[in-house]
Amino acid sequence: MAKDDKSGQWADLSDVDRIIHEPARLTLMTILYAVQSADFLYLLKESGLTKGNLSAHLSKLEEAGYIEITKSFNGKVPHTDCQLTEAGRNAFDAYVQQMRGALGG
Amino acid sequence: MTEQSLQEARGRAARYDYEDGTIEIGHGAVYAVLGVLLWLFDAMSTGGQYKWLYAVGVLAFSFVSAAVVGSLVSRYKQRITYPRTGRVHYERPASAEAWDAILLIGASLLVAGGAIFIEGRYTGVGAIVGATIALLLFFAGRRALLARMQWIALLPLLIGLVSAYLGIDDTFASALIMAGAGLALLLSGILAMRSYLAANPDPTEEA
Repeated sequence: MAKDDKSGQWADLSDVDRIIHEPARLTLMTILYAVQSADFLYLLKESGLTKGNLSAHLSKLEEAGYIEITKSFNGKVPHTDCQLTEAGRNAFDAYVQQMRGALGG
Repeated sequence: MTEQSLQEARGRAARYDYEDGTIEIGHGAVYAVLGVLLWLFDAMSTGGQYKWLYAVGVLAFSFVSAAVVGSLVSRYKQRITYPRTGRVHYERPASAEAWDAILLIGASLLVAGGAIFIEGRYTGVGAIVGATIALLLFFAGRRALLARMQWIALLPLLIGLVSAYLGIDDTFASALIMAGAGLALLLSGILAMRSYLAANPDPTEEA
């Protein structure tokens, strides 16, 4: 019985959403989950990632449909705004539940 | 992870608005000017027919200046802060907004009404005004997780208690409280701004 429970736990963990589970993307998802939206510079400052890394991870999250990226111009300066989509919010909720279940948190 | 990380992310977003010191400078300026207005009223007071007009003027000044300061702070952030460290939209809970409005209206009414109309009839109004302004600053500091503002909250409380103890004229005590809190906020904001600008010298180009 106990063994079954444990294998259930590991099954939970191996089934985890790998798009979110990557540490840098988990940081970005956590920040975006807590706020309505944040721009590229804010995410750069908060996450401590390099510009290239941040761009790459944001692209992955956008491809997965977890975030929406809006590009615009403030005068001549490009501006990139990011916010979690409904799917991203649900995926993050599910990820948190899954981790809690697996780690007993 | 999870709840603790989310709380931390929310806290950092709430604190972010105060990082560049502009909000404290703006509010400090309003408080200091209000202190000067109350001092002028106290100095020119001959009692009588202009009290209503003056009270309405102080109330109007409180609300108009809050709007003007909000607009100026927003313009400053657009030009100086956002190009340096970015922008975040964080929606505060509705209950926090309601508390802000209640405290702002309460403090304005107390300063305008209490300091002017109760003058001479009761002692210790300065202590009540000081405690109200202290509460306003304390809750603002607690909401923004800003320890320095919570420390500043002690100043109006202290001035109010001392002026009540010494029996200082209520309007003059209110003027001292507002000016003291205003100057402390101004100083704190200027130091925060210097530190922010030193840490973030050049506007960073966005990817």
